[in-house]
Amino acid sequence: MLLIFSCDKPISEFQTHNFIKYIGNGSGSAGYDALQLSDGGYIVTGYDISTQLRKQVLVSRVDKAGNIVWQKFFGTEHNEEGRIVKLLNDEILISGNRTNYINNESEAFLLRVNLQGDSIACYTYNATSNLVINDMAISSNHIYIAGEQYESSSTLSKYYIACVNLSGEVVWNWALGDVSRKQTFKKIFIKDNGNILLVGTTNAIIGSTLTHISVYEFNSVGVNLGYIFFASDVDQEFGNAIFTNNLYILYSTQQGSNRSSKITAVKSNSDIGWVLSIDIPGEGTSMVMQNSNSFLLTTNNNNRTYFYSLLVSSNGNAEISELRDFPGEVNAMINTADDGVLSIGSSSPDYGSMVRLIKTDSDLYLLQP
Amino acid sequence: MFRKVMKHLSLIGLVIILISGCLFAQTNCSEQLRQAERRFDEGLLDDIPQMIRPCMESGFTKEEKVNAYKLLIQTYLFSDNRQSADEEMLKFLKAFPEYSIGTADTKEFIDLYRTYRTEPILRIEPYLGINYSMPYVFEYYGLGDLNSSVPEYFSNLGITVGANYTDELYKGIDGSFGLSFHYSRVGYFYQVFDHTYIEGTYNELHIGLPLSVRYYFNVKSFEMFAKGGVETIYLIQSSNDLTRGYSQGGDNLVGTVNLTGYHKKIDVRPFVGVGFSPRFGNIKLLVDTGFRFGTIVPVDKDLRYTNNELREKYYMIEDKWIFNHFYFNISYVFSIYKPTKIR
Repeated sequence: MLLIFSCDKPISEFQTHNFIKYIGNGSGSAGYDALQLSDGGYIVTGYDISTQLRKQVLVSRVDKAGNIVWQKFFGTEHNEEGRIVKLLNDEILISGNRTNYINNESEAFLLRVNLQGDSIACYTYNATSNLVINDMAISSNHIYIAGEQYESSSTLSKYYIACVNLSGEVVWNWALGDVSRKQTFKKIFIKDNGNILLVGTTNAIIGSTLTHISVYEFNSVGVNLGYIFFASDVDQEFGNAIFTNNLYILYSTQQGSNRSSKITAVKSNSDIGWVLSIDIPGEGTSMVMQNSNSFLLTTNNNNRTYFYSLLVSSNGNAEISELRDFPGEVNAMINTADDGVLSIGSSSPDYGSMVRLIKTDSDLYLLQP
Repeated sequence: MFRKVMKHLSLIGLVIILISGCLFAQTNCSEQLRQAERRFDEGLLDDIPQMIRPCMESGFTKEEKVNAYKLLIQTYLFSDNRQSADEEMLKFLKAFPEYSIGTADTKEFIDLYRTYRTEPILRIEPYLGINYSMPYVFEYYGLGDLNSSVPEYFSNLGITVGANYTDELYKGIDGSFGLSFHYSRVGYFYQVFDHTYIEGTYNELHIGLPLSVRYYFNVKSFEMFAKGGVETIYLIQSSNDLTRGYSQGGDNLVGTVNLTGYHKKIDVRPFVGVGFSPRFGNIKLLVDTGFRFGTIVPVDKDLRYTNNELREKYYMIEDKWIFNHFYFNISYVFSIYKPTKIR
């Protein structure tokens, strides 16, 4: 046999707008968040399974065509995963969670990494009990982390929010809610006036097993300005949220064995503008807004991810188009500089999941059925 | 027992008698032909047809029969019996359609020969050959980091069978069209990640409609030809026998992925080649070799990322490639003649 061809070939412009790439050590990985750099490349975080069969934080920088610039793994002997990645002053901030592999206790961490992938600092937060971080937001001089805190049972948790300075020291923090409910913040946004908007879930009534969406607002010094709940007689499972002028929340409901997704728009005065019951089967998992009236969202159903394009009129009427589906999961999507979308998640668990990036252009080329 | 032996002996005796009879007849006819030739040389033409004709059915060897026909034709020509010469020439050409003029042939014989259409009216050339794939990659699309490694492609042997209909377009130039089947293979290897490699073999089956022009020329005593044309091919089946293996060991994933629905069905492949046409008695062959070029990238770009099995199970996304082929064919020339007086 003759080797005919193996030399370098240029990567076309097409591949900078559309690609699918896998990252990881092949022993089980997932991606949770990504951001785009000014050079068009991306920073990705998630976890990878180490040789000791424990999760370690995965941080990878890829170029605009998805090819790896560097890939780093951080962690201790415990299970750790990067959940959110942000950019601040040419530093990469990764927040995530560490679970003690012996006693299963959880704590949160904030990792600072430079653009070459070198670790600068790592701060740990345990709030004297178990702490799980679900999201992070950054202002010019503060970092806000949000999630849940619990003593011994993760099914009885309080909302948790903390403001830390750029040196990682806690400026203020709150663990609020009732000790007999499951309460957690899932997403955090900073409004133009500096107030903090938090979206989470709570049990509606003390002792109830029903989960409802909740929205809280704090000012920049940690004063609780109020909250709303989405009253319902069915479970509401948080999927994702986007904040622009309005707050858009993707969640799914379950009635019997039927799970369907909904989107709610919450106006800036905290009134619910419309509830769009789009009735997509499966659990809503991620959402991005492509322009003022169109969304791209994903649902998960039986280990498959389904992409949908949603066109919403001002009164909340929707035109929904089913796009492609993929084995595996999508955990987050981000808008990209070329008006496309990058999704991050994991490949099919049937064949050893890896971090999967799906980048598509503004026409959603890779998602067209 | 005695009866059985006698029966066998009788049969053997009969066979010996028949063979002896034939040999006697042949020997006798051979002598007759020699005598006829001597009489022709002496200018005694009148009795020659009567001497030869009884042996024409079965008394001559093939070579003797050719000489007998030529002797008869020349006898009639020198006797100014043009009509009988034509009749014998027609019989001769029907009996030996592939006869070609030799240096020993007389001018009169050649002149008469050239008043007949002696070329075949139909030439079918079934052929069998090998192809050797020569892949060319325009762009890689791997799932892994293309900055550190890219897929490698390997040439492999395949098989070609087919048949052409050939006709003379102009003196020394033939045109042909036909039907062909190509089974071709290409090897594949990709160290997609440090921990995982993919190896496989593309297997492709095409049906083709080749259209070609062949120009003949002589090099010393060899009849050579140059050939060029274009072949429209249709994809019948494309698949890849894949193995996903692990650098550190472990159970490999092995399987065959059907790619037929993900590849374009039609390609137009120009080809060029050279060859020669050896003869072995009445058997004429064409031996040719050349290159067949792919022109259309088979992988449908809109479907490149849609094969979930290929991507999720084997970590493979097809690259932008074409497969060229080196080929070597041997054809058997099967000719049908209908000799006719044309002048």
